[in-house]
Amino acid sequence: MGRLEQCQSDYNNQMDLKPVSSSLLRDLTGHLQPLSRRRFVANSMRLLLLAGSGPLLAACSGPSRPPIQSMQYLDAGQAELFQRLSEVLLPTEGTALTSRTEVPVVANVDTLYGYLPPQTQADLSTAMDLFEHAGLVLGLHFSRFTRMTDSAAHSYIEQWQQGHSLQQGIIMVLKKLVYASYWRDEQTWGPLQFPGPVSERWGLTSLGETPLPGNEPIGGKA
Amino acid sequence: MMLKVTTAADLQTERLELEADAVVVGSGAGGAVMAYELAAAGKRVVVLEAGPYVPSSRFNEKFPDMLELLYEEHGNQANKAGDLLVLQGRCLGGSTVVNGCVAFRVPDFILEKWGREFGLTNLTPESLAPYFDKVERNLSIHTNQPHEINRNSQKLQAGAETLGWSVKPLNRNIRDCALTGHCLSGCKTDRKQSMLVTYLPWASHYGAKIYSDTRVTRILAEQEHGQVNAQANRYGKVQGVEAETIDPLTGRKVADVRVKAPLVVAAAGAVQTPLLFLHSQLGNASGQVGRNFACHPSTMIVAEFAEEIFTWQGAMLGVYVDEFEHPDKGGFVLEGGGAGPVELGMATEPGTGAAYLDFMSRAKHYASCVSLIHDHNVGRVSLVDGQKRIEYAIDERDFPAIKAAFKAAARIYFAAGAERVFLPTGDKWVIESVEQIDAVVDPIENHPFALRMVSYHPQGTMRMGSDPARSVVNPYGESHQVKGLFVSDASLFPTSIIVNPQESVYALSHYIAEHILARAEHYFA
Repeated sequence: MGRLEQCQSDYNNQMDLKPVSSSLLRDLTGHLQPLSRRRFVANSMRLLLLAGSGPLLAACSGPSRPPIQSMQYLDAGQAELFQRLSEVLLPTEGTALTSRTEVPVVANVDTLYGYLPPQTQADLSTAMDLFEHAGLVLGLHFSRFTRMTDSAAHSYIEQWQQGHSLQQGIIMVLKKLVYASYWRDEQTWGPLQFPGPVSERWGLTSLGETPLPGNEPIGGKA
Repeated sequence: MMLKVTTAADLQTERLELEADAVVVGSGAGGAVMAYELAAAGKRVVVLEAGPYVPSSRFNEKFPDMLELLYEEHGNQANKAGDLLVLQGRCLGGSTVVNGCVAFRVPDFILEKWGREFGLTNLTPESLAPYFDKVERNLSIHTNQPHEINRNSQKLQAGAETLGWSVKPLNRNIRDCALTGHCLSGCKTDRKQSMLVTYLPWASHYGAKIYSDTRVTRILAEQEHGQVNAQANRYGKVQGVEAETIDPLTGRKVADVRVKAPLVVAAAGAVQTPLLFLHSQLGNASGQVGRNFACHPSTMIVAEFAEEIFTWQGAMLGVYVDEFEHPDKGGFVLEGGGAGPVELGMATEPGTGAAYLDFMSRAKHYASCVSLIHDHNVGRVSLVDGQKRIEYAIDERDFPAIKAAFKAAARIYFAAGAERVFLPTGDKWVIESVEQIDAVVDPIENHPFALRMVSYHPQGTMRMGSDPARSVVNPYGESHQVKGLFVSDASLFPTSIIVNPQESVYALSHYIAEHILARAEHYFA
């Protein structure tokens, strides 16, 4: 099997692209790039997202990563996306903060994702697909997000943050999921000197129910 | 002492038939006060709460856990665009369990506007004063004392005073505050005077029966010709409600519930109350049910100081700047509000990766305040294919107030010695000096995801007014169309009220209850 065929095989095995709603596709492609590039972007996105195939060489760019298991709610591709996002968004190495690797960030994202209503999950799933694959055709990255180098991935995120409001929305939601999944872990609070729960530690006692008040009518003024 | 509540786990039957003088839908600020006032007057009251009963002993002071346990949609309720988080309590006691305790009376100029524009001439500062007085006594509402104003609020206060701007201690409904700063996770030691420890147990004392895990699915009404039919969008009389009790652990239905009552009070909040009317296809001849939604958007402005602030330590909300409260002066207030790592970590973001972690690593040096504006009622809560939809976008008329609030907060913090100010925007906006304020804030444009907004005080979807063509309920909270069907929550407000709404809901609910009791023979015969 040649390199191209191998890439195609790997790609097809790893990808489970979902159809994108025409309205979302129209909105995204209509705004992702300046007017002169809209047709190119639209066509490229269709190729990528509707036909389920993409620029094969680009899909193979970057180092291969160890496979990630699907989780309770996130599939393997989505889990890999959040794993990569957490690496880029939370570079805790060399800081006084709790190491990202000590916090089950992706598992926590999975829990949060599970709480979302079905429609929101479906929308987010589409957004994840777009974020993962738009780099193949936009911004000269020619790569899926999870295959980008650290600096390229950082640059890609920044582009989305400063892009069209739809891009901003997608990256803000993805970031919030990652941040919430990191900071919710008690291990991360110590370096900030955030004490967490205090009532039991301080020996506070419950005041219980408040005694019944007197209840004289106001006087029929209503 | 545990509150006497029938939960899904307590039910031994698949069909529950109840009869009462009044059924109250929702157990938050509006529902609990209504239940108590009616029960204390000798009426047989049933309270149906969709959320679970979570006693305070289960509050663990970990905000993410409590978001999932106590809030609507586990803390994920959002508008359709996804750029506005709508946080509401979904538990016995409703949002009163998870709010920041701040208590205000409706500003006088708001009541004047309601009288002038919506015919609510019955609601004046004078007519409502006895109700405010009473709930303030009952709920230990008091002005924050010096020990309740933490370093976070001291910074806001110092900056405002330096500029000569009006700043005041907030009023809060709390007894002997333990200064844990965990208000939004519920008060573990029952100092917050939420409905869970006040009006609900008081209502229970007078015989009100409280059911949790029980979601009302339909209001029943009798049409003029006597047929019980929920299709009535005409004049008629309320008959009761149908509900379902759902096991909160499995999501499975435990029982069908039917309550027969000549009086129904919808107090499920500004999102759920209109949905209940729409599901029931009742009381919407005006077409106003679910319209006029004001989210009362809140944004958090963060300022960095050289010294340690520990914004999360002490009473969560201390002081507020009311210099710009009147719409003629800006139409916004700034409240000194603390935040833990999860909230801080999502409130602003000066950069990606290392820049973000650097920002968070200095969290103890931050002071924070929240802005609240008098937004226009431009949103809508509706049913689309049977599902809830919340639509809201910041109106162009309101965006200047938000930017003015950013500028005012930045001026205050720099006057207090801040080194930089971080704005709650989707993009990276950081102000490094007072001279930069205008240059940084002016270019911010209004578009989806431009701001990091939270709605803690949704309101306005069941507009109260004297004109049946422009409102859903009359000046006493009763449906213009369905006799005996009342609304008693923040959805009544015909406009947003700028300030935190809980006390106004308490007082209004009390007012409506007295109106009902004064005409008891009209409703209960």
